[in-house]
Amino acid sequence: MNNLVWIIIGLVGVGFIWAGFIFSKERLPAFARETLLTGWEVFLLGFAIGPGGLGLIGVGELNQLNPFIALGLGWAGLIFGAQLRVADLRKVEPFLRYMTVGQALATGVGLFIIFFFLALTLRGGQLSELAVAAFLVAAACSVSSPTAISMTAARLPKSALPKVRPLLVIATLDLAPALVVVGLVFCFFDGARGAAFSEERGVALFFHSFLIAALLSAMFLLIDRKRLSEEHNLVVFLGFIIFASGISFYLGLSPLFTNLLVGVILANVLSHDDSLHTALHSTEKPFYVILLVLAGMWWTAEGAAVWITALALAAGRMALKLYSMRALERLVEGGRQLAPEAGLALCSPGAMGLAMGLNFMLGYHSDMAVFAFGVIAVSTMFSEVVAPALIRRAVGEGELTKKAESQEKMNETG
Amino acid sequence: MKLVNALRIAAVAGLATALILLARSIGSELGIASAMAESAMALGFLLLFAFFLGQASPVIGAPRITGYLLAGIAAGPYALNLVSLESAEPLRLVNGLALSLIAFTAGGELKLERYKPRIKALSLAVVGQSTSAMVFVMAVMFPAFYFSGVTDVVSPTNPVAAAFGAALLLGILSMANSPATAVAVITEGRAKGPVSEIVMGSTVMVDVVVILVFGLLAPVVGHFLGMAESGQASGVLRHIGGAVVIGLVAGAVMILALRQTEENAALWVSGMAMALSEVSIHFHVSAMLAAIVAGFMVENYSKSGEKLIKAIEYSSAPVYVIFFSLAGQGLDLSALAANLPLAVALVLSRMAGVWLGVNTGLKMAGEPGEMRKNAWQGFIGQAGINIGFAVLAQQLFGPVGGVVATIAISAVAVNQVVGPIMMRRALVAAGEISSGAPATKSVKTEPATQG
Repeated sequence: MNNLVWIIIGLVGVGFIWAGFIFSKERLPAFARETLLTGWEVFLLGFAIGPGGLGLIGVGELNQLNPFIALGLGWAGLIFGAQLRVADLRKVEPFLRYMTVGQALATGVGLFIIFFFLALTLRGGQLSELAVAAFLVAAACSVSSPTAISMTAARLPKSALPKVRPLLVIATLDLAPALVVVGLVFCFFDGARGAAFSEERGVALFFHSFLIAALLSAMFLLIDRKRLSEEHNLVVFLGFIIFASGISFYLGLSPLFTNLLVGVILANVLSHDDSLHTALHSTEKPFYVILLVLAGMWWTAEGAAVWITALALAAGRMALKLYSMRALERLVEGGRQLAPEAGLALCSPGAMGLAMGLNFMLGYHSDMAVFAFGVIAVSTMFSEVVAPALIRRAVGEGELTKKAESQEKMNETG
Repeated sequence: MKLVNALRIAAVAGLATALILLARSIGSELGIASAMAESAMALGFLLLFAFFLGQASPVIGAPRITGYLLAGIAAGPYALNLVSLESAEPLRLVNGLALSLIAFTAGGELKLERYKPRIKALSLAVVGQSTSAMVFVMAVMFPAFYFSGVTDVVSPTNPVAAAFGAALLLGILSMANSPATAVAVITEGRAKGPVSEIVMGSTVMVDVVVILVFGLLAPVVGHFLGMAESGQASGVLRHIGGAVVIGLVAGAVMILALRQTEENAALWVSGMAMALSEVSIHFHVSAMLAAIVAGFMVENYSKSGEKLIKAIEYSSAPVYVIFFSLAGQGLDLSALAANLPLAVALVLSRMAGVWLGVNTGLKMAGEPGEMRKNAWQGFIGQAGINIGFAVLAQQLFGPVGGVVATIAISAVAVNQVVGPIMMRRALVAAGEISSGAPATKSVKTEPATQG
């Protein structure tokens, strides 16, 4: 019997069913609710059944699931880009913009250095390959998950919400510089030729990324989605995202970056009523889970070097986020509005970090890419486990008990 | 369709084509194209290109699936070569899913209550159509084979027997219809009425008849072609019985699942469709028949029939686009060109047979002239099951089987394009779908001609 078909049945099934749990953790016991914030458990499930785990699925079959990965990565890039409306960004307080860029830059540079030297010492390798991996790892591990913050915040008293909002803004926006780095790396470092740097290729592909994104956006704008039924809108979204990601894969570009560009263009051209983000958001859950399962399938948890580097990165990331935010609070006007330990709330990279890692591994097909993806995965999981406690500490509030929660609801209604 | 809409659709299809050509050009210029990744690009392109050509189909009075098929042909290796056979190969996984979903719908549409008053007309239409098509095709193709000498070349020892065996084989293959086309055109236009009921019911029943007749007559064909072991009648019973048993089990599981599931019914149905297809392949039984039985069971022996159809409608849109566009993309136009005269003879003789058979059957059943005038056009489409039997014929009957398969598949190519157009015209003429009125769609409004 065709294993691949069963894999797809399983994937889609897990995607739909688990999506319900991830986004309503109330159904889970307290311990699970604490640790399963952004769904890394489905990543582990993918690992368990993939070639690195029980081997129920081989590498050959995994390679054939490319369109699903293209869809998942594209969806993630597009949905993020669709949030970046210039009009909305202008409303963000300037100090939050500076703090977003500042902490992302500091964390990224710090993580680049940590990874570069640890990988060089523990593993060795060509410098260009190492540099590319360090760029990608730094980008993937410097992002923050707004989902983790909002999921934890849902269990906090209402009094904590003013402290949570600026953190959500920073966590949402710090993905942008990371995705730009990923896009640039894919343009300038040739995955098919051992990550060799090529300025000519880089400039050409960078220009072509914009051209392709502009043409894709024009095509999307020509589609009269209001005339289409719900099912046909789904066909259009699926076709559009797979096509954009497929072109990116075909040319060795990052589907995350290409779709980000498309999302940004569309978010700023479409009328405010035609919220692309809302339309994408309403159907994103299963794709998000499928992407995590597939990322898990590609993970091979081998080698002490992976674990040592990952744990060092997780610790380094925590320190860099905490101290860069503290420094910025002093340096940036208005920064003191944030809690002194606000940086700790930004320690969960969430699924986007894993998505970037997966994108890197599939684009570069090298041992170094496998190593880097392993590091990203381990460090993400570690960060996810400690994230809820760190987020609560950052906003200085304890979790609501069931009794307190119902009391708060009564107060609201009363 | 308004001009603005037509222009929009043309622009979208044009931009999608320009993008794939641009990607190819950048890839070859920089030497960076990744063959492995081409299937994702092909899938995305086909989904968009076929979907929008499907939207434009009403301009030529055709249903959407004709647009999907033509898009596949245009994008395929024998026309613009935007999607190669290699890059489309991994996408053919969707075929099993699509055929099962189509068969679920076909079974789900067979509501006993509705069909009881028409059982006589249905049976006579089935018998009339299948026998008449077979006889007409044999009558035309036997001399055509004999005088053209096509079968001579591969079997020179007994040219008369070879020509007769080949004609008999083509006659059997000509009986089959396309439930996929019937389901797609009827659900797309939300057709309701006697013609759509007769066409839907008969195409499903004819498929069962073809499976039986093929199994029973395969040894006879083998005898004329000088093949000792070319099929056993006992295998037919196993083939049909196995499919019915699997369908009953699947139906029972679906009834339980649909009863429990308020959300995600589309997921359960799609999962079941894929699983059913794989299980049927494993046990060498007809997946279509098994799925028809399962859909029939859910419709007639539970309260979940409506839920099943709604779930299929939601999940089938992308699957249909891919299935029909891949069918077009895989059509071997060079083989069609090489066998054009014989393929045309086959198409015309089958059409004449279908017209006479359906007309006679319905007349004997006492159906009115208006019904007879329209209904036969719903039986012209041919698709997956015919190709399946053609491939089987090639495996069973050596070189002559190969010749027959090529001609049969060439005729299917023509019928695949002509069939949906004729069927839609018949339904419009019978007043069972509107040619321009808005459809009563639940979510958003679309012209009925498009959906």
